Amino acid sequence: MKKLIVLKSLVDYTWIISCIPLLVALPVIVVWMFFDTKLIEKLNLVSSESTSTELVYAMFYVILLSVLVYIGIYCFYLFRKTLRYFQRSKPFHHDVIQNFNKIGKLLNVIGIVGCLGIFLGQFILTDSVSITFGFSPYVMIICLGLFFMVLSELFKGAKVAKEENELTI
Amino acid sequence: MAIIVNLDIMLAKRGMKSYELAEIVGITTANLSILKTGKAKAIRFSTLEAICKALDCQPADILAYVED
Repeated sequence: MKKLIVLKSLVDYTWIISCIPLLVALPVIVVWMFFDTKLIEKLNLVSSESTSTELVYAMFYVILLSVLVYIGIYCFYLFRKTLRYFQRSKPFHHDVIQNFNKIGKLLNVIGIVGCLGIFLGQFILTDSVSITFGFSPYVMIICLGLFFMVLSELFKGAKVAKEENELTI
Repeated sequence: MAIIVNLDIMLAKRGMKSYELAEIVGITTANLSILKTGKAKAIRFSTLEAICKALDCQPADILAYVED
């Protein structure tokens, strides 16, 4: 189980180094954005000649992205929690199955809302419509979400098989 | 469950205790209890064979089908 130890260490490292600071920094950035609109200009969402309506849209866009990041962090937290069950040799625990399903659903939400958000954001803020075919991080997130949901179904089946095996005399 | 286990009746007929049967068959008393209470999902042929041998009976003496 060396691989699991390495994985848990990397996940813990990412949690401490990236997720916890993001949890604190994001609300600060979102609140700061309302007081100092130049921050949005720095994020290249609007130019100095933008109207106040565009500014409101840009703020809404930043809030939407922040919510998606928060959902992503929650997914990562659930994944970290699930790894703890693996370490305790309880891979078929009810919570593991539920967590995988929840992670899958949330990742799909991030992927779909992210795709639509970027499309609408571009349309509203830059008055242009562009559709990119091929590799997209949001499509990868949707794939990952579906993978987690499939994994949840597989674990559910494995749990039933394990219970039946235990009750075979 | 439609299949019922009449192990208690056979044990009483043979005058054998549960722990004695468990010892002869080579299963734990906990597993024998699961079997007796009908909580078991399946039974191996090897276990059934050992029980029949120990109780000198047929599988039909132990298992019965009852319509729900």
